[in-house]
Amino acid sequence: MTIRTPTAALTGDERRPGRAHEILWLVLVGLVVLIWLGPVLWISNISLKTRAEIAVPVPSFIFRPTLENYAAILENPNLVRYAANSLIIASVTTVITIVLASLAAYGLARFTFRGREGLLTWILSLRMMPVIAVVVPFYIMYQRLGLLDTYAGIILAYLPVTLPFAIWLLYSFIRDVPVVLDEAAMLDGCGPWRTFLEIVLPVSLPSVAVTAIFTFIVCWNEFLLALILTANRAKTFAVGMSEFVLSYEVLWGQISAAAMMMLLPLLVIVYLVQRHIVKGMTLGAVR
Amino acid sequence: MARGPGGNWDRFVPFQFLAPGLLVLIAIVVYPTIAIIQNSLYDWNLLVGNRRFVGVQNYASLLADQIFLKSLVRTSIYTAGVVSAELVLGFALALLFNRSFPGLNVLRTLLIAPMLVAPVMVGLTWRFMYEPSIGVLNYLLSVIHLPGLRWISDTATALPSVGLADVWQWTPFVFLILLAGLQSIPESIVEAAVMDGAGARRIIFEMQVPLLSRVILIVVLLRVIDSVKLFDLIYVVTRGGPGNSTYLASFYNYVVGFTQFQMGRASATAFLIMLMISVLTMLLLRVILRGERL
Amino acid sequence: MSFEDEDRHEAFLHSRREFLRKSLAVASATTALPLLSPLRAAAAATQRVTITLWSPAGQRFGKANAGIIPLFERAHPNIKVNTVTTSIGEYFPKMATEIGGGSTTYDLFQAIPTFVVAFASGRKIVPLDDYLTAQEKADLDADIPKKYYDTFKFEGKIYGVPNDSNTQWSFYRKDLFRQAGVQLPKAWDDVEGVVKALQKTGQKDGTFAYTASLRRGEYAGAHFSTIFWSHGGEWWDAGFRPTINNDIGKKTLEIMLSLMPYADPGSINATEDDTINAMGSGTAAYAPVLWGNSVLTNPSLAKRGAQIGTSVPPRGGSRLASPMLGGLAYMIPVGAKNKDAAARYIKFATSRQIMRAWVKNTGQPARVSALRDPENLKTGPYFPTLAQALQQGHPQVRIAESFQLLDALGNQVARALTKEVTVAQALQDIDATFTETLKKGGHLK
Repeated sequence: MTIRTPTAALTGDERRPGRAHEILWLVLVGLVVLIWLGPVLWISNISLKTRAEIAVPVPSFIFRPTLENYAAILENPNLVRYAANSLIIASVTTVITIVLASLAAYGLARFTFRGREGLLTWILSLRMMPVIAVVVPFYIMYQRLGLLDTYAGIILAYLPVTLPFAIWLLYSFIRDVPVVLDEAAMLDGCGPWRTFLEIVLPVSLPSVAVTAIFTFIVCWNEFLLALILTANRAKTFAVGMSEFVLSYEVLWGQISAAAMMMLLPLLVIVYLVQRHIVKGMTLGAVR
Repeated sequence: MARGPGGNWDRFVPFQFLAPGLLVLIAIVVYPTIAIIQNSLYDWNLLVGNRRFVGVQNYASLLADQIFLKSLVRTSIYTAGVVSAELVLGFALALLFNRSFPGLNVLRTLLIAPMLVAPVMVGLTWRFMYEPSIGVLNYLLSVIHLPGLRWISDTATALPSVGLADVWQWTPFVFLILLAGLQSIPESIVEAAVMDGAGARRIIFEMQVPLLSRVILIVVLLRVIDSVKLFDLIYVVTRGGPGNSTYLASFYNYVVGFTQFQMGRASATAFLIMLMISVLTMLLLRVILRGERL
Repeated sequence: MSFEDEDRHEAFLHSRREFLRKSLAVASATTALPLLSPLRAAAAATQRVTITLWSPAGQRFGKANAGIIPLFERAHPNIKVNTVTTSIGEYFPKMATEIGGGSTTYDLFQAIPTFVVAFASGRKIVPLDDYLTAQEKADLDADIPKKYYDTFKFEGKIYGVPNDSNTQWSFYRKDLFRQAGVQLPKAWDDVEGVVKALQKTGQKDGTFAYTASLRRGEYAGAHFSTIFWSHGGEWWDAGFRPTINNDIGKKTLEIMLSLMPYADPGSINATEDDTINAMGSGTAAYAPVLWGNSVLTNPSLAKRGAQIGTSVPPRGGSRLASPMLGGLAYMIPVGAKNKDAAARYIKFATSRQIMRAWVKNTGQPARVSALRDPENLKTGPYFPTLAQALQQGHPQVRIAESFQLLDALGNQVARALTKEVTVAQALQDIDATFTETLKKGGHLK
């Protein structure tokens, strides 16, 4: 196990730093992550407490844990449905976004043509529009098209939110892929499409993975459009969560349990997808 | 004519790649875009429904509104502070994680957790932690014999407190992108520099940062845009208070549209906010690119 | 059981009853065909109709409706009621968008009086006069405090019928007052003295003397208005010239500022939920102006429930208090598909007979008879205070721009309270904003 990064120079070691050093580094990183995760740990702490224990004036770390909050969530058929809705909507939107955005990013990154800068600017400007002003026009438009409270409706509404962001991210990453790769493939007789599909895309997999993660998260967490454009059938988890905030109190135990139950599968999905990022180490193998 | 890898191409070629995405985008946004521009020229009460043409009156009234102007200033300061913090922290974390050994994968995934927690929950959690008497932050401070702070109950500390929650939530985003960037720098270049005897500082600042400049630019652009549009946290944690201390531009927009139900004025507000973002972005592009091509 | 548990339990019982009723209906229809009396035949021939009711989730609204719907469906077997509830924070923006956008999804919904003028003048809701008999109208007029019921009428027609009412009044800790040796202040001039005394005794156990809902916008605006109106002030005169920038306005802001040093730290950004929590958890001793709710006097919901007393807010000098009126009423949108059935539900839910069931299911009635009913006082011991406060209450302004004005007013009040601007500056800015808005709306020439 060797560490070949400039930070190795920080510790003065070069090739084989030795196990002790690596373990120390792991501990340091672990500590950073632990502190950073503090609030998340706090959420999990609350999710295991009874209602009475949560309201205690002094926060307690030693208590008798209970699973009643998690049980309440699982027994709530609505929440499970909202989570399923969010999963479907986020996944479909992410797939569509990645496909359309990687194509567009390739076109923008590899070719220069008149209007390219203008196009890039226009795409970015879409992201600048605050959602609030857009919500009511969308509502009126959807009312006429019958798209209110449908999967298709909310997915279409999310695309203008996710596409500009994905296009810009992928554009930036593809620009960093050396053009010599494309040129080598074309010398071999590949057209632009084959070059894109067989050379550029595989090499950009880490960036695609990162973009996919972010797109998914954006869809998952989006609130205002989901609130106004969905009612009961297509209601998302983000909107459903807000219903734990009652008039006179927040159902802390249950909302924490719901948050944790959503967080864990998401973490697993992210873990599976982002393993590809590590492969970036071999990117330099052009020569 | 379009220039591409290896020479000139027919203009149709890039169009093929761009068409699907662009067509979808245009189809969806054409009506809302026209609607917003149009709405901003009308006085439109959402509840009553009838619209009255008022020309630029909405814009004039907004530009004369002290509260709106102050919210713009507040938003600019907030954005500058938050994005700088995220950039520095994110880069430090990326450097920390820019190696490979077992377990790092898991830790890296865990670090993304703040972005994955539902925004409502993030807001509520920090609000709870910020409670002066029963919140965990003041409790921890008391354990090490420090006085508790007033966090979101005081006009002076409310905005930084919101900023802290924001930085906590979004630094992982910056971290991940910068890490992907760092890891795409060919190993051979780094090794060569190390062999030449370059110290860590030189490697980081004179090699990695310049190579990453485009990625850093994109990240900063995206974060600036998102910070100016910040809404979720304000909505859940402070709703603009105490007083007006966390009344940011996007929340002002929400209040005009959904508390005052003035849709015309809200559209005009959105337009002005967009304008501000464009100006900021333009400035940033000029500074970071310094003449380089995009 | 948590609220959600109870809701689901209700739904479960409801679906069981549904099943039983359905199978009974099928059985009787098939086996009793030759024995059908003309009456039964008539009932069987009536169309089954489903109406959708939209209300905020939780106490007083969603829960209360859920409680009486089974009773309604038993009395009207051909009408089924579907409920949609949205958490109250998100309810109003969504409701405004949908009803303002002419939605056809809902047959009836609940809203506060400030929506009536805008919706009615925009023809988004239908007048309910034709659905009520003369007797019913007379009964409602007699039993609901006139000032409150009038807030749901517009241009001589009834647009909303309430079975819920709310206004602001005082909540105080009887034990802490006794400890400090003070009485509940009768007028605003006496409040600071009482609060000072409470502060002295409260220092020992860390309780704050005063708490209020002072968040920017509608909260600070409502608090200000109650004190302002109690002193005889009005937002504008007969010609719509704003009259807040005067001595009464100045005095109101000064009263509010004078109490800030004794307030719990959360007050400055508190909504009524936060203030309720402050009182209920024992953090504060006295909330002179707070939107009504049942939590505080219910020992099972609030730690010090039994110790909390209620009273109408303090007088403004010799004038009786004029707290702001709130409360929700049922309205029927123009796009409703089953207006007759919806009206039937409204009549049922606002009738005298249903009030006991309503209160038992966490409702907070508008009918004076219900507020004085000894049976109901067991659940809501503060009802007499509410009844009194309703009689004295002051309606919110009756123009379509009321939302803007209340928000702008509250914004400036919050700025004054946090010392971002001086009292004089705040009053001037309120005056300027009001003038601009009233002129734009064509009210002020």
